[in-house]
Amino acid sequence: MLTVAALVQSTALAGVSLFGARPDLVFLLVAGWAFLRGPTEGAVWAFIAGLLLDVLSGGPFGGFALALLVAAILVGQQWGRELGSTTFQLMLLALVACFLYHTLLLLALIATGYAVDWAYALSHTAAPSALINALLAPVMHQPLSWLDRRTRPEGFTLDGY
Amino acid sequence: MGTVRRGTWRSWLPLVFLILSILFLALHETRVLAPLERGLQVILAPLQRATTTLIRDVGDLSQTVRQVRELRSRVAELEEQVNALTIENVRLREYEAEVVQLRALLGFVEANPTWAFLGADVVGRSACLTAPCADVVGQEPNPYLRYVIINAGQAEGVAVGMPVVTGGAVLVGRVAETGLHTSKVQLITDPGSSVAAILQQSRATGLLVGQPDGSLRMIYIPQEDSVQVGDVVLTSGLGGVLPRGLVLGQIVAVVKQDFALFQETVVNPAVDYRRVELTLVIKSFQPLVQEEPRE
Repeated sequence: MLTVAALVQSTALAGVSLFGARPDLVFLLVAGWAFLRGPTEGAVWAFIAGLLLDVLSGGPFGGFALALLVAAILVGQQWGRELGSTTFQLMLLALVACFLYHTLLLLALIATGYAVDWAYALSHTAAPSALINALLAPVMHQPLSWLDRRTRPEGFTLDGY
Repeated sequence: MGTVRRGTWRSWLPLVFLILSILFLALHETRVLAPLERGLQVILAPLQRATTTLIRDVGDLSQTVRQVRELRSRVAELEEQVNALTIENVRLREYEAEVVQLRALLGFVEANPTWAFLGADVVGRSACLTAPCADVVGQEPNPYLRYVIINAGQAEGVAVGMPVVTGGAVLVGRVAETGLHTSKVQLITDPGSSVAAILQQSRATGLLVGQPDGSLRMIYIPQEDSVQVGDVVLTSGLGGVLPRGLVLGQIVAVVKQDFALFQETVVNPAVDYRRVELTLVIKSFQPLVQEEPRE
């Protein structure tokens, strides 16, 4: 599933942009799974998906893996779980995690010698992308919840979720 | 007991992955991981190509009305013709500009019959084009970079730095990384790309650089040069890394400030890089090596 998502991200979705906002299928899958199953399972998905994207990208190898991993660990935490409904919690976590994910992608580029226009990148790509992915997170939550129910071994998860 | 032990080591997984990711980033520059990346590319490239083909086919299927399809193909055909004619026109204008320059040189020679002259290009233009054809099989998933993946690699003789063109003479970019059967091409619109450029009509030179929003800017154009909107931007060939005369784009705005040393222009790319499908890799051309001045 992650391989298909990475391939779709690097083909059909690569050119999709609405005022700079880019829906990120891989991020949505990883964040959604981390939200349901906790940081450890989220980290496993993030690392695999990140490496797949790194292979398909012209950027530094490891950049996507690192960015997705940190995002998954953040979304998988228990913080803020008492705030509002599940949908609200997911949207809030996805918003913050997606912005962090983009920031880490930019930091990885800088670390490997790229020149980055921070103001432009954060305002024209990172912020709108965080917003659109936060809006899409509940949509992805439905099929992932179904998958979670189908694959959860008798209520046991690595993080005890 | 078993569950507790398993839970303990699994709780370290995020940290292990985090350290591995940072290690990969650190090792990226040393190229130690290149074999691993190439190996993974060999596995993923056919899948990526199949996905691209599948997505294109599904897109085609959605067009149910035959007439619409016929009209679309007719429009594509005509667009192709227009593109070909535009490029032909650009080439003819280039020849015209060259003739004007040669006439001026000839006039200068005739006006100074006692002087000795040796004709020479600034950088060679004669190009031996042995070009493998390559499909674009993937786009860049990182929103801050602009690369495409083509299905020609080391096995086909592609090497880092080779120019990649489309539609005849439109420069797409340069090969940045090669796999066995795939290569990553850095588009000229990538923020890290810079190409030595010349304006077709005014002959002003500068540097064409990619912008974060995917547009192009030609910078370092001397203030005294006359720059007009609509002028075509070509590769100058300076530096010898690219052939001269490849089409880059067209000027849509000129940014000139009295206090600045140089003027800039906003350049509209010659093609929509998101829609490039077929490319040619220029495997070899013969740039003239600039000789060191004798002491």
